[in-house]
Amino acid sequence: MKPASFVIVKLLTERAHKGAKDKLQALLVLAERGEDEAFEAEVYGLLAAVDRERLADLRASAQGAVFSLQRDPTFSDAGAEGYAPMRHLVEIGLARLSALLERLHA
Amino acid sequence: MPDARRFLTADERMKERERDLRVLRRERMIREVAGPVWHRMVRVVPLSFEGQGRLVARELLAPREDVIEALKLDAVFAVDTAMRLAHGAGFLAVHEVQAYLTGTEPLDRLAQAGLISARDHFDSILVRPWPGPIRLLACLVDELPPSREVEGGYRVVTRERLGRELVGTVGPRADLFILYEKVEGIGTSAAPGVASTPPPHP
Repeated sequence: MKPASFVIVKLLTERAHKGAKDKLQALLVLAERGEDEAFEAEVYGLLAAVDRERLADLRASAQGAVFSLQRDPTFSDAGAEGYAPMRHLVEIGLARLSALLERLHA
Repeated sequence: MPDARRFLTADERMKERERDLRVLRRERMIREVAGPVWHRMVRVVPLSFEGQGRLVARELLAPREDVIEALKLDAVFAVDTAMRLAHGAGFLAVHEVQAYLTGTEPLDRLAQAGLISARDHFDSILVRPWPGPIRLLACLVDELPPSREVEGGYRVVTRERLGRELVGTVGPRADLFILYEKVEGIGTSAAPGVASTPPPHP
């Protein structure tokens, strides 16, 4: 799977259990490849194909994952605790996702 | 120990799927009830106050106003205290003192003056659902965060940062986010904490 597809699939995955882990993985890839314009264009294109309701789901669950990681990752969501040391990168990923979604809605 | 989840039956997987969809439907209902504020709120990149440095809790031995006054020159006040100092209304039920400091010297000074306990309090959970003494929660950082001066000469975190700290403290709570927007005089088109550039490294 291409990195951009991986990001979108993970962001759109609905799982009550271990859901935060999917979002954190996607945000980390966004943070890692954020400088890559081709990657960003591909993510943007894929996001553009998603309906607004699902985009709102996606945005909320990404923010929720960052929040749970900041609060207490061990308690909040099994599987997410290993991502605690990467908190700053995850925040960068969320900021990049937010910027992409702003562009989409502009 | 074998991973039982690998051997879920189709029925069990369907039950999991239904559970996930129930959670999603509940979240969508919350979104619909909150209205437009929800969309502004989820644009915010949460900021964890306690995650910015080393958090130290000290029990208050004097009125909180005295403690705040004594920290005036050293601290940038944060979270609920910042909102109360700037606008007279906070968003947490328990009225404690949250501040950024660059060292422990102010804590020692306040302890010597009998304003706070000399020893760290064991409970440094920022929002605790259980009872306990009123505390000073000091986040020790290398560099104080960006701040603004409010009435009385107190330094509090910037408007944008306060929005991020609120969401980082209580999560996506539309009722509290509306209060924040109202007291800060934020127009409904503004989006505090929307990061078009990545947040700086702490």
